[in-house]
Amino acid sequence: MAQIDSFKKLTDVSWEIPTSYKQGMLVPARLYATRKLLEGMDSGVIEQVTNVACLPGIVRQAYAMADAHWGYGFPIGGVAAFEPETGVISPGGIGFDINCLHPDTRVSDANGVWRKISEVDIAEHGFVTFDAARKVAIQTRAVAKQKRLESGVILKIRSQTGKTVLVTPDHPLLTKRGMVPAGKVSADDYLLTSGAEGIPYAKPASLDVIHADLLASTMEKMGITDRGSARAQVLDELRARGLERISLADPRMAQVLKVLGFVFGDGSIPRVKRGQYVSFHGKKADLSDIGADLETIGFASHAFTRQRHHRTETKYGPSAFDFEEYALRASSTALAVLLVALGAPYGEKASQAYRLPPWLLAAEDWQKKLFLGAYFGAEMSRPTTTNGYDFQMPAFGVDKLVSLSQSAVELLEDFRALLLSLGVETSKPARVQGYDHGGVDGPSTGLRIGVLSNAENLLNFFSRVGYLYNREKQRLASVAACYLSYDQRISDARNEIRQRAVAIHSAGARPKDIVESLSSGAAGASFTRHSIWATSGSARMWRSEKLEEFTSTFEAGASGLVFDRVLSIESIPYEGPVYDVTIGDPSHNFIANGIIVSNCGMRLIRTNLQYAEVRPKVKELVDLIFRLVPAGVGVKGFLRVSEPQFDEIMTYGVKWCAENGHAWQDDPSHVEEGGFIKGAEPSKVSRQARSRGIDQLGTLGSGNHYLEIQVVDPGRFFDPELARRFGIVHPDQVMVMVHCGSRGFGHQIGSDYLRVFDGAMKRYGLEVRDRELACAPFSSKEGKDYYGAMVCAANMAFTNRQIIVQKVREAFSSVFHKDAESLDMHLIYDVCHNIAKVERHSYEGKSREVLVHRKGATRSFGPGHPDIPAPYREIGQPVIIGGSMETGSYLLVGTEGAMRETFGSTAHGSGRTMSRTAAKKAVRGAELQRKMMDRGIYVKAATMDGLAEEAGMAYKDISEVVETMDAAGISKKVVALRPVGNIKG
Amino acid sequence: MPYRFLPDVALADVAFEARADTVGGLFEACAAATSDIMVDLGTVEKRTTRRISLTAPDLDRLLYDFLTELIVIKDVDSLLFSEFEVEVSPEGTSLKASARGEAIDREKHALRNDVKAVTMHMFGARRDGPGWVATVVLDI
Repeated sequence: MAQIDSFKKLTDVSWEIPTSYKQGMLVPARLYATRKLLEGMDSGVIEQVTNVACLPGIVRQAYAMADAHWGYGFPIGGVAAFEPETGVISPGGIGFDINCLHPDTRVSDANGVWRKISEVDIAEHGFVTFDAARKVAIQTRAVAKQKRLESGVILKIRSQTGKTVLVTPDHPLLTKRGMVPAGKVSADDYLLTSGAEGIPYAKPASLDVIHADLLASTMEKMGITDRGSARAQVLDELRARGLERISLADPRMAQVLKVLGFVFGDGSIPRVKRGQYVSFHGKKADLSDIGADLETIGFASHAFTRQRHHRTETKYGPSAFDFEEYALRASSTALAVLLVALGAPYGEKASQAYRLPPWLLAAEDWQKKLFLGAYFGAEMSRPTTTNGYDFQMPAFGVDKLVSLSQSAVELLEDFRALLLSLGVETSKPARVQGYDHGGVDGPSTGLRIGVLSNAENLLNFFSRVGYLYNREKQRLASVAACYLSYDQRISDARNEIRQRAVAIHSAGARPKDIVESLSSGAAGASFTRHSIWATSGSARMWRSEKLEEFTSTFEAGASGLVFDRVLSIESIPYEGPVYDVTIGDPSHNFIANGIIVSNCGMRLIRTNLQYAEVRPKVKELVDLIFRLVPAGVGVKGFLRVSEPQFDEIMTYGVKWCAENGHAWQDDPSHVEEGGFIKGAEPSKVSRQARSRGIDQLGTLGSGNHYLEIQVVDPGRFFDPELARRFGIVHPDQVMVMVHCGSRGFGHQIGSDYLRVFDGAMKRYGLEVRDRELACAPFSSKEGKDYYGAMVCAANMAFTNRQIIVQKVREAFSSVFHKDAESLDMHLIYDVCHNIAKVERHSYEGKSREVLVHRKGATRSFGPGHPDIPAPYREIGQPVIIGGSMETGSYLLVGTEGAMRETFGSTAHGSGRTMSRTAAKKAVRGAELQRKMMDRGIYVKAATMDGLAEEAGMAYKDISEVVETMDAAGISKKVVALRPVGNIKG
Repeated sequence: MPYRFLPDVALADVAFEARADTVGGLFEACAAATSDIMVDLGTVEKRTTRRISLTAPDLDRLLYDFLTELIVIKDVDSLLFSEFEVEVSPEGTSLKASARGEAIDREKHALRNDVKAVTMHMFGARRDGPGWVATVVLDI
């Protein structure tokens, strides 16, 4: 696989794929594999495990074990755990939860560019989410978008700062008291809102801002000659990143515009002869945002810190201080050329004349905002008040040599024109007193412009343009915008009261009645009384709160988001589509379909027989078991049960068997979960599934399912002491292994719910990365129903393997003329490797319940776990790993390492590397049967084609898989088992 | 044959692509391919006829349900078929089919792989020029 070098190597047998691998990954993915296994791994595994890492509610990591191969949705050999509680964090840029909103609802990304929710593309666009734990606003991704038709009413909720949302009554909004369904929100509630309204997205013109001629003339200007083919190198580097020609419509322009804007401010491209670079100065966190954008464009950068001592002579005397300087540097001539070609100043800014790039005026408004926002993040003063109430004019200036002061005016006029095109008015450029100073190149002067400080203009600036690459200023601008609109609404309300008071009074009403009927939260009694005789049209402001008080009262943490009082709730009839976006932050939990269809699993029983005794009887045994345990297409089992009994089986699994004479007393405790998983709901199983399951108990099925007589390999008797605890005392001791599931029953349940989920997805317009990852929240009706039905399939599978083992005991007893008890045919263990279960695990210092999905992965609980049967508790849970029918299988134990790293999970088998068709072409069934006979393995198969398809060469080397998991410390080898007799479905 | 198996699509399972001039023909081809995976069609005599009527919200679901129905009949009634006739309504939401075959006989039939389920992976029927094409991956 080509990408291996981009994975982080943790140890020789474990690798991590960072979340930067794919948009939307919520957690990293971890692979357990040697380099060789990894190189041979199907590239679909990487896609699938990283898709799983995008699913809502996933915790820690998505895992692929050493045997991983492509599966449906999840890779086979995949493990993932999810938070079971449902808790939604509000995603909308406006701070509302955007579950089921009107199609015109605006959704902002972290740059303050908004789109209508109906037009949002979750693969491309980011969202702003309030992280309730840290009380900050963060950028995140959505993993799904739903659309459904709503017929009924929709609520129009308005807030005090003038924000409106149209939402279905059943969907929650984030309020001061937590998530509340919109229908239960009252006028006493405060909704979380953001002041960063932003600018709507519009498709930019396809105007080239970078092209070959421009690059050539830029390099000429920068003194980059073709000596040593320097120019060709720059062009090659740009071409490699697809940057040799860029149009305004290029999706990377968003990042390019921000970086360029910042370079005009606190960035620089020094004139150097060789090794050009671009540097950025600012706060650590803000610089890391710049670094991320540079990476998106295609350039690496690195951060550094240094202690600086600053001393300068000002008009007011010398000023000196120490400070820590953070800088980010991107050492790339290609990047420097690109930015200069776009219009960035090259070299010392104060000693040259330059203007804003003329093409900026042709850009869309949201693009202008990105450029300006980044520049203002660096240069513009922060929102602050003069007296607690009124804002100071946010301003910025440029320093130039006195001889270039005309060019400073021109540059500032460019900024003014650009701002004006966004509706923001500014003051004329003015000289800044006290900023004149001498320098090596001559005396310089400062010129400055500011955003006119009338409320409307400031609100427009803070809410629509604002700042970027400066988290603190962004936060302050959002709060300032809320404060201004709050102020504005209060003032509008007062004006209205004033006008009505005057009108009612002139119509003859008594002042006392007027005061009673009109006084409200916005206007106290004295204001209303005063209004009756007021002569001015506009109300005098009696402000109740200073900005600082407003911030401390209403801001949620330091998020820039503000709790905003509900002003009105209106119910309006609505017929049409509503939308929902599922945000990929700790949120919805769900169960993924396509994972657990049949609780396929492994069961191992021991005997006290030695290979020498069994060898002459292998054929007889296999032939008898083949008759007793039906295998192949459309076979039925010998056990007949009634419908009510089948319900009991679905609910109580092996416990039912023990109570009805189909199990030994100690069998249930040697099955994962004590023989049955709790939570079965037979009523959630369809008629079709029932009819496919009821007469299949005790059948092996086909495909890769098998039943094997095995012997403990004397050469690979790894841990005799652990083996003894499982009753394995001699090399060459004979074992029986069963690999099968719930047959057509579990598959029918899988198909039924795939239909339910797929239908729901179509109806809701749900988008997931892979149709086989169809999912529903774990707490939803569909999710719960599926879980209840899936548990039925799991319990049916435990029962199926139990009935098969009873038949195996019967066969041995008949062939050896001894009862099965005297042959010591106890169950060592039965473990499923295709299941989703709620389990308690400790991680990040806490013990909590998670929904663990194991798809082609085995539970591997370490020593001491209470779920391990008493005789094994000290040593860890037995782990049964099945290899191909030629290479053999392994018995291992679970470890502490698995508990720590993989939610107690390990591999399950070897994994195919060759298709069925290819295997059939490579070897004929009859020929394979003969070859295996020569090696001492007697095989009986339901079909010869099926046998060829399961040839050992079609599978990965099981030993390498097991060695990898052992070396990774997540399971520990006990013994290897080699086949001597095999029944193949 | 109006269908071909796709060996590179699913290592552990079986994928096929079917083509036909009409929607009904496409369903017949998909049914034959599904049977072909389970048994050598030449060994299945047409001794019994099973009639199937189905409705579904759309064409994809109709095909999914139809193939699933054949798998269910195989498990529940132990019948395998070698010939199909399918009529799909013009809007693609209902069908009437007849399938001819016989009860599974392990001695007589050259049985192959048991099909457990139809998967949604790459699943779908669509127009292809003047005709129709479907891709199906079956869980083995």
